[in-house]
Amino acid sequence: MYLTSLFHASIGNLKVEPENLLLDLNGVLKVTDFGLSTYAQQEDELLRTACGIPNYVAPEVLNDRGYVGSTSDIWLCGVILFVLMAGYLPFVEPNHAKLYKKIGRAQFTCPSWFSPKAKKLLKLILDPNPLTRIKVPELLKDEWFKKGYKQTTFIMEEDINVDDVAAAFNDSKENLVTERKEKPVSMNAFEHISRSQSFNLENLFEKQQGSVKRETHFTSQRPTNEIMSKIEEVAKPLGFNVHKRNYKHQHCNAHSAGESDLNDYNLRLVLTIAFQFTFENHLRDNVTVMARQHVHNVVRSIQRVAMAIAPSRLSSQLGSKSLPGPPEALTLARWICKSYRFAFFRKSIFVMINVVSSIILYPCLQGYLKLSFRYKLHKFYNLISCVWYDIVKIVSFRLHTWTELFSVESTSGDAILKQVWHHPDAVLCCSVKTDVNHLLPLYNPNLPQFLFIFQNFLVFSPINSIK
Amino acid sequence: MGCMNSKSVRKFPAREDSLDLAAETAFTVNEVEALFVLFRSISNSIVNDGLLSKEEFQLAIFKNKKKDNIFANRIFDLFDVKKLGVVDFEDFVRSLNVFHPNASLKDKIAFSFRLYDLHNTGFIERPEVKEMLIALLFESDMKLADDVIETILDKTFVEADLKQDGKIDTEEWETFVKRNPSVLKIMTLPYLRDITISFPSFIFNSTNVERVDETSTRL
Repeated sequence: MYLTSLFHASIGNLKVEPENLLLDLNGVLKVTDFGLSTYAQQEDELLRTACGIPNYVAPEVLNDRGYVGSTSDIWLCGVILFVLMAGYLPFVEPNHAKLYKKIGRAQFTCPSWFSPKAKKLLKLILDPNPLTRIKVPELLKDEWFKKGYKQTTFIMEEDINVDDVAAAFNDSKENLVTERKEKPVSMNAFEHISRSQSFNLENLFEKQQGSVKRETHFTSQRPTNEIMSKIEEVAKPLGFNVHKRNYKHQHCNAHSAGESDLNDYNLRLVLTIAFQFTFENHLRDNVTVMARQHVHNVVRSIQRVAMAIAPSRLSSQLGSKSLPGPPEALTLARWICKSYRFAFFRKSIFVMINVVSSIILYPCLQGYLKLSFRYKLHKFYNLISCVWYDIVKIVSFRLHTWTELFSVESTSGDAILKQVWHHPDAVLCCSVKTDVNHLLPLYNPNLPQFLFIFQNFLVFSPINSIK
Repeated sequence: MGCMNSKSVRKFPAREDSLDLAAETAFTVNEVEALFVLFRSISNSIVNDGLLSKEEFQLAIFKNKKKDNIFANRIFDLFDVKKLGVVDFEDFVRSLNVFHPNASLKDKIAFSFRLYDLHNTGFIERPEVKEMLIALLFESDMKLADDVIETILDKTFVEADLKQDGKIDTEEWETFVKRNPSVLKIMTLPYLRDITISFPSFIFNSTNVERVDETSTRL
């Protein structure tokens, strides 16, 4: 069983390194690449590689006019920033041609909870004209951007449903990533042509429907949570309540400023990334080299974006002549280079990378341990044993340096708890061997809250109620 | 239009016609009559003659009769079985039947092959595909460099043109489509499965109550 990823977005804290996204809804791994990063020999050399997932790609890349890598990266940062704050992609369209048109015109709508300054910044970042688009130096001075590190008391519901994100990638057939100046094509001509509006005969019936006014009925190609967001946005001012049924979501609270004990802990991004490269047998060695090169490109992508969204750390590096990027990004990049491994399966190479930014576990676990010792010892151990005994591998890191604390395999019982206990800033992610969905009924406010479960990937989040 | 033979069509098709159409298609009698409500509304939108013209067809799809489109033209040409320049109700139903979820894959493959055989050469040829691809890009105000278009075509024909003779015949098309099911996605309209539900006014407001009863009795 290979680790797969689920993307989770939070709000308020921009100390998040946007990573590659990988979706695996049906047990099939699909490659998703973070932008179009290749190594440019000169700072402003034009790059012409037209590959990658369209939803994240800047207009000038789609139009193959040649582009400055850093300029299209700004657009990319904007898309990811939007995703992190909104929980859905700004440009989503099943129809490929319509998607390109939307991106080319930067047609997107900010949800109601975006502040005016955030909207303004996104307008500057998601500017379809690369010449007038905001640059990194200007970005670092932006008022909203600099305030991004403050705490917020906003409570939002995080959508864990991956269907909407999967839909955005559903048509991606990019199985092989190549170097710059090559032009791989992921769709055949007939798939492009069949997206024409005039081939959709359902328009014949939509018109008729309008004249039969016996029910209100609409269809939408938007992802689910965008529809829900829009309905709420419209309905609440009218005094309607919006009830969600069969709509899977979880509740996350950003910590208020008054809770000084928890000020230093914020929800961050956790990903496990897998890249799949398919090959014929006789090309195995070549594809392996290509895959390794791809990982290095990923690392450079991470560094580049980390610089763009971590200005306070970047400034401290101005005097240094070491590699560019904040210390955390450098450590993360180094760790990725050490941590990735290859697996061969069904004519594919899987490059597995665990990327952990941060999930707060220790304060929650510590608090809960105290409670359990005094009141719920038995229940707690039942739960923990159930989880721990199935653990395949645990990797724990220090919060701010990502130095590896320990790596434990096939452990059981409370040994892991003792190790975590003695590290005040440890964070923890687990992959478990068996299906953990049977744990969901155990959910209640007094137990460590599962942030989300996706197949074998299990992440905990802190609970305020313990305090 | 002057040279076209005007053809009077009864306001409602005879029961026998509905039964015959239902027998040879996946639609039920009620669905055929529901389709007639649709057909009548779109076929009389410009000229009230009970026949569907190309302009009326494009108006139905785009809500704009002045918009010319290579794809809508192509679909209309395939619906126009008798090559009269207009589509009557019987041909409309028989052609639409290909898009029914229960229609056979074989029929969908055959129809889609003729759809892409733009010049009716009996093959899907590279110039035809290029013409359609460029028309799509134009439709969406998108501009791709020529070499990108050629790359797309190269990749497509590497996959589809198994004999590498520069064109796709019906056998190659069937093989290609079965390996790329998404190409046939447009050939199915799930909507057609429950078409009578969307036209309740036809059922409840129909003045032919007697015929409905007879139909129920026959079933």
